[in-house]
Amino acid sequence: MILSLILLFLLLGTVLPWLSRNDRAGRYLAIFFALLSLAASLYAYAIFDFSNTGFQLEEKAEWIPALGISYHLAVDGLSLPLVILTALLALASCIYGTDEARRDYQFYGLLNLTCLGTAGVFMALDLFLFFVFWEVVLIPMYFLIAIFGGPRKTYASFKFIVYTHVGSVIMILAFFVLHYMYLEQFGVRTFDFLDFAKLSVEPKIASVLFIALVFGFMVKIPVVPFHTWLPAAHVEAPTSGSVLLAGILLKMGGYGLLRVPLTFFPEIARDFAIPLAIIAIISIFYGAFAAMAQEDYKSLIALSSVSHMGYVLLGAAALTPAALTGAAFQMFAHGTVSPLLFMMAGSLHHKAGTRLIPQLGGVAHKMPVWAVFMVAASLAGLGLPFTSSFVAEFTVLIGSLEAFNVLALFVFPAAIATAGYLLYALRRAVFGPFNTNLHIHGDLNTQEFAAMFILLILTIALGVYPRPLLDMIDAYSVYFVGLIGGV
Amino acid sequence: MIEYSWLIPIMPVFGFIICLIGGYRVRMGYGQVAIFFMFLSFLISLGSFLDVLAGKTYHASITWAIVGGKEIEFGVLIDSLSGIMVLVVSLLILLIHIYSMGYMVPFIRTNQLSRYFAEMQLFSVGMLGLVIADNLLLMFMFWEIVGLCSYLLIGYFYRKPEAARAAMKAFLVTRAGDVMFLIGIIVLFVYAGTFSLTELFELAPEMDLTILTFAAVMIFGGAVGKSAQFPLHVWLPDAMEGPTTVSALIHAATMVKAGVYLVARNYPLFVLSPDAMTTVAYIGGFTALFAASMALVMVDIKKVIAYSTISQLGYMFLALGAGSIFAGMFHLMNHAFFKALLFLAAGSVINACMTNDIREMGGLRKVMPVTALTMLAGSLALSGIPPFSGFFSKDEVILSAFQRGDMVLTFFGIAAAALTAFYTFRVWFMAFVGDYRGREHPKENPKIMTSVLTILAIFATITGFIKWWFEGYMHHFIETYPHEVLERAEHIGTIQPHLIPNEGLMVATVVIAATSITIAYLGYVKKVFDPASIRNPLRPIHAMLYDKYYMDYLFEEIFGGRIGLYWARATGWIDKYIVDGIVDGIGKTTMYAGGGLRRIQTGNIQIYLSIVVVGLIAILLYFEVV
Repeated sequence: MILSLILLFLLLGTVLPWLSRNDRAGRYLAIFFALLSLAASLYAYAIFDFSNTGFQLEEKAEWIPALGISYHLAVDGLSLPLVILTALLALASCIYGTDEARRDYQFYGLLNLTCLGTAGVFMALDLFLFFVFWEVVLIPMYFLIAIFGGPRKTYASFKFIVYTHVGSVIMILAFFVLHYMYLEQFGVRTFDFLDFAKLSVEPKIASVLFIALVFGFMVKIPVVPFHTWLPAAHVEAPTSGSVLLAGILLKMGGYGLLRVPLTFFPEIARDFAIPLAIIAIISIFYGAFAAMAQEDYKSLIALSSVSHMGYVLLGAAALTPAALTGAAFQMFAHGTVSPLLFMMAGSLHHKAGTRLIPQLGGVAHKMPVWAVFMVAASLAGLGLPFTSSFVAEFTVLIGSLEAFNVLALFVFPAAIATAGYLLYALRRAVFGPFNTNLHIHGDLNTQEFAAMFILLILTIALGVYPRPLLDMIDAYSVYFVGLIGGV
Repeated sequence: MIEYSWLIPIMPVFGFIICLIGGYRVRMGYGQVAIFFMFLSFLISLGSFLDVLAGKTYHASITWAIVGGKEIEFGVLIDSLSGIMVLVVSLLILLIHIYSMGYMVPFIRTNQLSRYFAEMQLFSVGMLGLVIADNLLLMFMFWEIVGLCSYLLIGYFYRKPEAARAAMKAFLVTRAGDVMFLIGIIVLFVYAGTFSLTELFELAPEMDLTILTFAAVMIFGGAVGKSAQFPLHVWLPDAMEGPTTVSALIHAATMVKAGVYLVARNYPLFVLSPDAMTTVAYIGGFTALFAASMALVMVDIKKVIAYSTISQLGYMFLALGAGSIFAGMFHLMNHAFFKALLFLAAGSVINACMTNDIREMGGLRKVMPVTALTMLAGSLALSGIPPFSGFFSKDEVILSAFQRGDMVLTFFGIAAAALTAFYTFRVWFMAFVGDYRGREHPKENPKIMTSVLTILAIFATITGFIKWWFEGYMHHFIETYPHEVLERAEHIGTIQPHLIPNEGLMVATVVIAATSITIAYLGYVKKVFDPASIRNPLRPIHAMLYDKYYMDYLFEEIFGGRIGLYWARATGWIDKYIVDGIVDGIGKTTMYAGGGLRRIQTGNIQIYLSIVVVGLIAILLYFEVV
């Protein structure tokens, strides 16, 4: 029941602030229930059996029996870290959101609703339920951008919803085809993930389905060239919206990719390994170089997400135990580092009135605490050892070297480009002589500090000793690759 | 005490946290905290070293991560090599922390001192951890931490745009080396299945030679970046933007030595591959001469010493590549002391004259006697004049090249020695002899600084005499390598366990160095000839040296500007106008098409239903056919 409890808390965190119709009460209710859902997810972690590599904490109830659709939840080593991440970011974004003065009770409800949908995606074993949660996420995020966003919020929110919806539609088509194929082969209607895994699909159709599914998820990750909705959405989204967008929405794509097409069509995945790896490498470099050219700190961080999420695709393409572990760990690592960077950019905008790097300069003089966090977050972003991103990236690199030999060597120099855009931005915005045209109002306040501190400490702690999460992820990867007959 | 050696890098962690957290409340007092924790580290290092002398070694590890089902062990390895290295490093860090208490005082008003000590403590964590790590991955992780601290401390005066720029340059250029290092260790992990040094040494003889050579050369690539060897040396002279104590500690005595130590630590891998050894020797030898030539013309006292550091690091690689780990490590330790001394003495001079430009110094011998004398000891050591320490170790380095029978390397060594003696004394004479040319009123610095200078000067004078003991110590260490490694290395002749003294060579190098000093004396003190008059006919060469062989231009303008930024701007443009343009184009087309299709949206439910039915039939038919 613990998984439903997590969802229930997030649901209460959505509905009660709305019912309260009071900004202050809504805020505290949202924080309180986000905290409860985090506690519940940590409890799930505590009772999780590390020696069991299959699905655990399973819950199943019939929902639409006529179509074989059920309310079926479970977690394993791949999904539980992401569930914890979701609850954590629900809390962090609600805490951080307290700074944004004109936010009202609806805002906090929308944050928790987004997390509700995302957590559902990570838990659902019924693919119809998976799809429902998947779509649930879009709606609050659309409103977060469209109501609380920046000057071009209409354009950005519309682009976000249309673009990612195209991905969703193609994905649900693939699910329906699987549904009918199962009906044909076994005479039973089902949308259950575990049932679909038993299907035998002839290679030609499998390739088509594989491409459809991968496309659907690649839009969400996002992978070049399907990424342009992301910077637009981020630049206009409120900070807490960006936190969730970068922290967990992108992970839905990565999780879907690792979970669905790789399980159903492992042989096809092997056939497509090289093209996928090349797309991943292009994403990694393209994102890094495009980030270097940005003037808005937020779109820089958004494009850096494209670059970092490229490692997830690379790991999925390599399909060795180490590569999958790295990809899954990278999702968690990026899920803490990128929100942290977005919070930094948000606070900067709040205090200095601008996020445009050429208009900044020497911010460290006036906001020393902010500057320490900004430098630390940037260093975590560039994958410095003793941060979780390093563990993730080097694990992916090991896996891709195992799978691709020389091709993998082309990925390594990305570390220079990544350091390049982050430090180049730091040099212009944070260091140097103070730009006297700037009017800066104070340093970080307590709420901002608290939200950032949680994320930073987690990033460093998992970089110093990654085993609390890495063990379960790696056990899953080894088991999974063994299952699909790899290595 | 050796079983507590894992505490050595842990101690400064406490200092780091205290300085970091307290940093925004109180301004002074953090130096004492940092020194206290460093002193504890030093004591444990000393105790561990005494245990090593008694014949003990220590190796313990824990499982840090499980990746792809393979366990990655992290631990501590104290043997003869890391035992003495950790002692030298912790002593130098301690001394420079003490010196900082005097040197950093003028900066308290503008920059919080706690930030300085926090960063210095973090650096100590990284450097000490790197030395005692038992594992290539752990070494790499600490390696990056020291790189980070180098970045932070070069940019300590972050208000200065040059400092911010130099910090970024240092990080990016060394990162190019770090990427190679990471490639090297991941290749080793994929092929040998472990990061552990001792296990790799056991497995190395069975590995494919091509892969081993590739991995070794890549690891050396990391050393080239960190130790500022050609062609990745361009960051080190710019790094002089940091406080002089930082230059002394990080950019002379310890961090830049990490590259040399890395090669020495992985020596069993290198000696199995003749190609890797040759690469190390030639990069080192060439850099020794190349950097010394640029030191000839610099007028910034710190830049002269910086190029000198690059050149001396080249000597160490030359010795390692030529097959003598003893000569390389011996020069490393001697150089650590006398170069730290030179930097701190330079810092003392800079503090007094408020400038880095040696043209605005002169005659300081009278007002700053302690600084002058101690710097003289350092300069003599650097020039290789007996009985100062540099003489002994430089002699061994050149001997190792000579004994290998490689005349090119020997030439690099001797020619660089000639230049070294000249530029070293050019600086000393210009600063301390003659008349004062600046506008300040220089005076000797406080005791806390000069006493550190004195301690280091004593080291620079006497450490050469440990040569006979140290040769045996290192020889004993080599014997601990796996039997197969030693046998193969001796068979292919990549290792020289014994260096046979060669008096002729020794006398020749001393005479050459002494001649160089005499020329500098005649030119800069006696004014027998005017150095400027020589410069004029050689203007193109002088310009080339002064512009650092245009290498900085290449890195900043071509790699950084043209390739990096222009490429980034091109990508940004493509992203905005082409990739996103197509997306928006499709969006608009759909909207127009939607406008057209609106006409069939009649509100007539029968038409809708019939379209749905037709569509459904089409889909079902498709699947029947398939």
